[in-house]
Amino acid sequence: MSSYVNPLAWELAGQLINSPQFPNEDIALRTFQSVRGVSSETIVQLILTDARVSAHIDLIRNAFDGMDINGLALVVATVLDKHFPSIVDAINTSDADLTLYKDVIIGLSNNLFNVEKTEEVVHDE
Amino acid sequence: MAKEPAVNNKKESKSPVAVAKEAMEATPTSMDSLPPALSLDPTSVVDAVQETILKNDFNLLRQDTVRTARLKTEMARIEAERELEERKSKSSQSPSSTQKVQPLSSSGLLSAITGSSTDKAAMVKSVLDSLESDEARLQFIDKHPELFSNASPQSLPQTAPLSIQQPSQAYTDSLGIASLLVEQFRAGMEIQRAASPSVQSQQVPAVQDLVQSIVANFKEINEKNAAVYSSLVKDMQEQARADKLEAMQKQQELGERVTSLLIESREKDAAYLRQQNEQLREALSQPQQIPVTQLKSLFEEIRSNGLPVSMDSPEQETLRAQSAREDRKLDHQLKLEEREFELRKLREERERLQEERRLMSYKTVGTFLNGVIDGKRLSKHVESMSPAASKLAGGF
Repeated sequence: MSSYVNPLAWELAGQLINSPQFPNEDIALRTFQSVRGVSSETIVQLILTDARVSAHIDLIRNAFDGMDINGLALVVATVLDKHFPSIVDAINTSDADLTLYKDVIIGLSNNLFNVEKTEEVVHDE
Repeated sequence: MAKEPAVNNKKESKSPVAVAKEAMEATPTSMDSLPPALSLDPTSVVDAVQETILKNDFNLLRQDTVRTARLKTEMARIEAERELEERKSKSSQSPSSTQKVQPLSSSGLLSAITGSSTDKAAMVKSVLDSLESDEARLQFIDKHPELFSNASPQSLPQTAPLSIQQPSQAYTDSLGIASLLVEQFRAGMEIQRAASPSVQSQQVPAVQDLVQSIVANFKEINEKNAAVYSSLVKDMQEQARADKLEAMQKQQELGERVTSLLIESREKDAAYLRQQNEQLREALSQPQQIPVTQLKSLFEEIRSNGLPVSMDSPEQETLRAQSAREDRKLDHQLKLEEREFELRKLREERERLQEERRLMSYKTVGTFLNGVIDGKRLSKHVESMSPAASKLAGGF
């Protein structure tokens, strides 16, 4: 499995970690536990409609340029493993949580990488 | 003797003096008979004064006339008494007269009137003296009243009182009054003469002399009074004439004064008009000038348009310009200072913002660098990633 990760994606992840709004592990865990009953689509929408994300959506897309869902999953898993290992354990111990995690990554990948394709499709039509 | 004064008074009332008095009293010489003053002009006033003086003169003349008549009558009475005494003394010296006749002491007027009444009085007196009592005397008087009258009514002519001419008009002339008195006196004397014709022959010359002397005295007094009156009238006329002349002179002086004042005022008016005329000519000869108010409004209008126009003197204008320049300089300095202050504030604000921005940029750069570093670490963490994380990264 070869997953390309744009260096800007690592840099973007490093900027995200260094941002003041980046939560600590306890808060992140509580947030994860609080969203367990929520659907993956809703969680994707919540992430994408966040002000910080929506304001820098172009920057984010530029940072993930050339990547696919495997690269995105690698970046996310790396961040979680580095800063929120408890959440990684929790996801691995529960199938539902793992499914939710995967659904969210798919949903994010679809919104971040398929936009151009959709536009192209629209353009082609 | 008690009836003797009454008898004497009765006899005296018929004396010439009494007759004159009655005549004067019968003559109306009151103030009403004089013409009134009709107006108050100088001539009428002078006439009124003259009239008043004439009235006074007339009154004085009348009083003098009456007084003179009285004196003359008294003198005649005294002379008559003296003649009676002489006659009595002569009769008493004669041997046939045995009866002593006492002269009536208070009957002077009896002898002055007529000689017959004197005899009658002597007879009555002797009869009364012969009576013993007063009652007998009263009875005698009652029985013989004709003995106590002035004259017997039969002897008096019936036309005698009518012969006295009653004055039918007011006498304003003293000569007329005197002549009237003389006429009445003569009429009285004629009555006396008619009443006692026996004594007339004896007393006519004396009475005529007396009357002539009285008339002469009257004439003399009247002439004197007439002279005084004429002189008074002349003086009054001269005085009135002098007053008239003086009034005319004063009026003429007043007229001259008024004329001179009128001439002076007209000369002043003429001078004023000449002056006005000269001023008007000067004003017309000069070019037409704009009124001061119009000039002021014009200057204000020009000044409001920003043009420097002033009606002040050059020095005042210079001072005004200097002060305006200084004011403008001060205003400029003030504006500059305000501008500098604002600029300083802006500069400080700008510096503060720049510092903040610099700090922010430093922070941002630090954060960015930290992010970059963390990204590098993440990329390296892939190699040492846990199996659980690797599981999460694969499977897509």
